[in-house]
Amino acid sequence: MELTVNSVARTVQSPPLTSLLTVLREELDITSPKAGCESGGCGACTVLVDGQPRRSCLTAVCAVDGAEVTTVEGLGTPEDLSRVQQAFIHHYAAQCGFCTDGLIVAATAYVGGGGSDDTGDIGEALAGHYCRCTGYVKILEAVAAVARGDTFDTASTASSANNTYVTIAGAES
Amino acid sequence: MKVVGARLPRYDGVGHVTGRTTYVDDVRVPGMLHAAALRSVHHNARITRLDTGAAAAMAGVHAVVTHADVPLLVYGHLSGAGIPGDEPLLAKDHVRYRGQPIALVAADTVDIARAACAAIEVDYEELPALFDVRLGFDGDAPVINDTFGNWYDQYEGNLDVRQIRKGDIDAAMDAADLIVSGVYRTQSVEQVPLETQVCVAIPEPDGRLTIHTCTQAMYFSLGVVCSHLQLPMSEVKMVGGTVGGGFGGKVDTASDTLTALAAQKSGQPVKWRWTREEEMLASGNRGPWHMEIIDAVTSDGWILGRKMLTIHDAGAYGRFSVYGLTKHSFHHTGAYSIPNLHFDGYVVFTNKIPTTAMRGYGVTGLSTAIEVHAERVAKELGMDPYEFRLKNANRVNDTSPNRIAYEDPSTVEVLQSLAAATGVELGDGLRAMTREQRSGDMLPDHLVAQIGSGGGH
Amino acid sequence: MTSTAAVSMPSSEAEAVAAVTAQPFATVLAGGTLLVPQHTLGQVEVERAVWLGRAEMDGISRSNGRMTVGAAAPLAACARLDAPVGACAADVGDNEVKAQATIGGNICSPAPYGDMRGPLLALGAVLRWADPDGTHTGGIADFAASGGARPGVLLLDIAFAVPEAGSFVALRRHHTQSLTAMSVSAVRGADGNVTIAATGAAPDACRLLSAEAVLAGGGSIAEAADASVADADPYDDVLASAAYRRRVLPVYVGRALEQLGE
Repeated sequence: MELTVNSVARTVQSPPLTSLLTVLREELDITSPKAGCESGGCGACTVLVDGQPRRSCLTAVCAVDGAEVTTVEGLGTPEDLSRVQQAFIHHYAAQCGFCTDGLIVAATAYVGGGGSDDTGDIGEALAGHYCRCTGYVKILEAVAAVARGDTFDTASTASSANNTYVTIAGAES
Repeated sequence: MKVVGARLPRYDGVGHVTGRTTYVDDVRVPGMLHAAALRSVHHNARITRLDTGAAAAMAGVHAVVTHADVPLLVYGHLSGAGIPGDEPLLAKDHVRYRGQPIALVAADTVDIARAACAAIEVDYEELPALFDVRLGFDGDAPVINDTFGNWYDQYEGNLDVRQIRKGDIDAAMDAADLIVSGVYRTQSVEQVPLETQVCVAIPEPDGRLTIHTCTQAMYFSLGVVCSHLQLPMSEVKMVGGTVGGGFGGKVDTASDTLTALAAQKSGQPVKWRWTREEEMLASGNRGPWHMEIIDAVTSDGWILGRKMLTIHDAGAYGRFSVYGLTKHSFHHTGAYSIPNLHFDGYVVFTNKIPTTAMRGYGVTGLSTAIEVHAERVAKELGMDPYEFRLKNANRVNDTSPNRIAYEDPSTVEVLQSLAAATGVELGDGLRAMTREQRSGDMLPDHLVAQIGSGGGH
Repeated sequence: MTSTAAVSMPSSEAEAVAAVTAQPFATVLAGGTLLVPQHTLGQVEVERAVWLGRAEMDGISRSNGRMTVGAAAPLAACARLDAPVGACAADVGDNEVKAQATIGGNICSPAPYGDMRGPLLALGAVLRWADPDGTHTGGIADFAASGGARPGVLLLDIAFAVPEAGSFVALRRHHTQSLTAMSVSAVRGADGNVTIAATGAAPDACRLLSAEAVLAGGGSIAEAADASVADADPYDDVLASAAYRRRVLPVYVGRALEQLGE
C-alpha cells in the first residue's frame, strides 16, 4: 500500500487490517499520534486523512491506501510553527501534552474549514477529544484566538479571560 | 521579581505542539520485546496451580516472569514509615482482586505475548469476595488481607484505628442546642491519564538497568524497583519526567518493576504498555470513603464539637491508604475551627483494586462531606450558609485537629470571593471579616482554649 | 495486532455480495469503528475481511417519496436527513466517529450499540440483505429473525417512506463518546397514523404499540406516554437501571410526541 504521510510518499508493509495508528507509530516511526485507548474514545490518535480528521486507531490502513495523511509533525516545525501550534503555546493549551497532538490536528481542520471563534462550535468540533489536565478552557481559548485571527507571542503566555483574580485582604505583608 | 506575575512561556511547549516530545511509548530501542500480563479473572481465589511451561515454550516468547522470579516479592509502599508490606508484586498463591497480575510475558510481539498469557495454566479455587466496606467488620466476613486482617491494625500504640481526640466532645454534645448527623459516601474514581502505564526497561552491557518510566514519583519508584529487585540504586538508571498525565495514579507504577524483571530475565529490552482496559481494571484509583459526621451546634451558629467515623475502602492491599487516612484525619474539620473533636478512622480491605493517590489524597471526598454537612447544619439552624461558614471559618492561630496553628488560612477570603463571583450579597459584618486572629464577637468562650501560639514554622 | 488477514476491496455491490457470501465466510469491514479496535486488541480473529469502502454502497437517494440509504453510508451523511433518522445519527459518537461509522454497521451491532434500529423501526424501514441463498427484504425485526448480522450475510440498503413528520429524543449523553441510555423515535405517516419506537426501554429496540393504540383511539399525549410502559421490558445495565428506564420512558415518549406536534 502507498500512503503520502506529511507530504512524503511511503510504502506500507503492514497487513491491510492493521490500524493506521499502528502503521504510523510502529512501522513508520511517526509517534505523535498517541495510543490513548485504541478504541476511538479519547482522540489522542487523531490525524488528517485527505484533510479530514480521523481516528487513526479506528481506521484500517487498507481503507486509506493512496490517501494523504497528515500528523502534527506535518503541520509545522519548531522553527516554523503553524498558527494553531503557536496558539496552543501562547494560551498554555498544552499541559502534559499527550492529547495535544490530536487536538491540534482536529483544531487545524476546524479552523481550516472556516470554523468560528464561538466556543460552543469549537467544543462540538473537538468533543471527541479528552484532555485530563487543562479542563479545556485554555484549549477553547487557543482555538478561538486562531479563528479570530489573533497573532501569538510564543515567548509569553496569554492572560485568560477566565482567570479570576482575588485580592486577599491583609495579605500584603 | 523576575518570575512572579511574569507571563513565562512553557518550557516544553514547542515539543508538545510539534509532536517532538518523547513519551515512554515513543522510546525506540533495537531488539525491543513487548510484554503482556496475565491477570486474575477472580475477585478472591486461591491459586492451586500455576504452570507456565507451555507459554514459555512458545516460539517468540523470551521470558515468563512469575512470583518465583522476584527477589523480594513483598515490599510495602510505606516501608520507610515503618508500615509493613502486604502486597506481592505478582500473585503467588492467592489473588485478591480482579486484574491482579500473576505473570508477565515478554515476546517478540504483543500478540505473541498475549497468546502466551492465554497459554499459562492457572487453577483457581474461588472464594467469597467482599465488596461492601461496611461488611468488613462482620465476624463472618471473608478475610481479605493476610497481613492486617480486614482492617489495618498497626497504628501507633498498637491501635487498629486512627484516632484524634481534642477538647471534650461529651461536654460539647451536652452543651449543644442542636445535634446534626449525616452519612456521606463517595465512590471510587479512576484518574484516567490519557497515557496508560508504560515502561521500557533495557539491560545494559555492564549489567545495569535503564528504565524509561512514566512515574510521577521518580525517587520513590527508584526505591521500589531496587527493593523488589534487591539491587543497589547505583545499578538502576531511571529516565522519566515526561508523563502523559498521572493525577496520582502514576505514583505506584508496578509496571516499572515488572518490566525490569522481564528485561533481566530475557536479557533484552522490553516495553510494556497497558491497554486502556487494563488501566481501568487494574491501576490504583481513588478509593471510596464512608464518612459519618455528628456535629454539636449552638442555635446562633457555632460548631462546638464534631464526632466523626470514617471507613476508608482501601481495596485489597494497603499501599498508601494509612497515609491517606492520616491526612484525612488531620483535615476532618475542613476549613472550619471546631474545638472539641472525636475522630475514629479505619482503613478497611475489600476485594477491589488497591486504591492510591488522586488529587487531594484522602481529602477530596472529605471536603464534599464537610461542605454538604455544613449546608445541612445551616439549613437546620435556619441560618444563612455563608454566615454559618464565615463564623466558623479558620482564622490565624486557630488550630487544626492535629493542633497546628494556622498561619495563613484563606477560608474567609475564599468565601467572600465566592459570594462576589456568584452574586451573593453578604452583610456588612461578613464583608468586613478578615483572616486575622479572632477577637470580640468572633471569639466566643468555647474557642478561646483552642487558639494556638502561631509564630511561624 | 499483526494478524495477516487478507482484505478484499470489491468495487460494486455485486462484487461485495459475492465476496461476503463465498465460503469460507469473510468478516465485513465497513467503517471499522468497532472491528478495527477489536482486531488491534486481539479480541476478534479475522481470517479474511471484505472492505465496503469502494463498493459504492454509500449512496443516499430519494425517489417517489421513498428514501434509500446504502448500508455503507456514513452516519455523518445520515445525520443530514430529517428526524428521526437524522437526529439519531447525529447523536452517535463524535464527528470523527460519525464520519467513519456506517448506518449498516450500526444496525448490525449488538445492543447497547445500534441506536439506528430505533428510528428505523418507527419508520417501518425495509432492509435489503444478501446471504448465500440470495437477496431478501424485510423489516428490522425480520432481519433479526433471519439471524441478523452473521458470517455470510451482507446488509445492502435501507429504504423507508419519507414521513409527514418525525421526531427523535434521547437521554443526554454525559460525553460524546457515551452510549445513549434511551431514545424515543416517533413518526407520523402519510395516512396520519403515528408509530413510536424506543431504544433502551427493552434489551433491544422495540415498538411502543400500546402508546400508538392510545393515540389512534384519540387519547392524549399524556395517556399515550403512560401507556408506553406496558410495551417496555426495562433492564439494568451500566447505562441505567431498570427502575430509571421505567420512570423516564413515558417522559421521553411525551417529549417525542410533543415534538411531532401531536
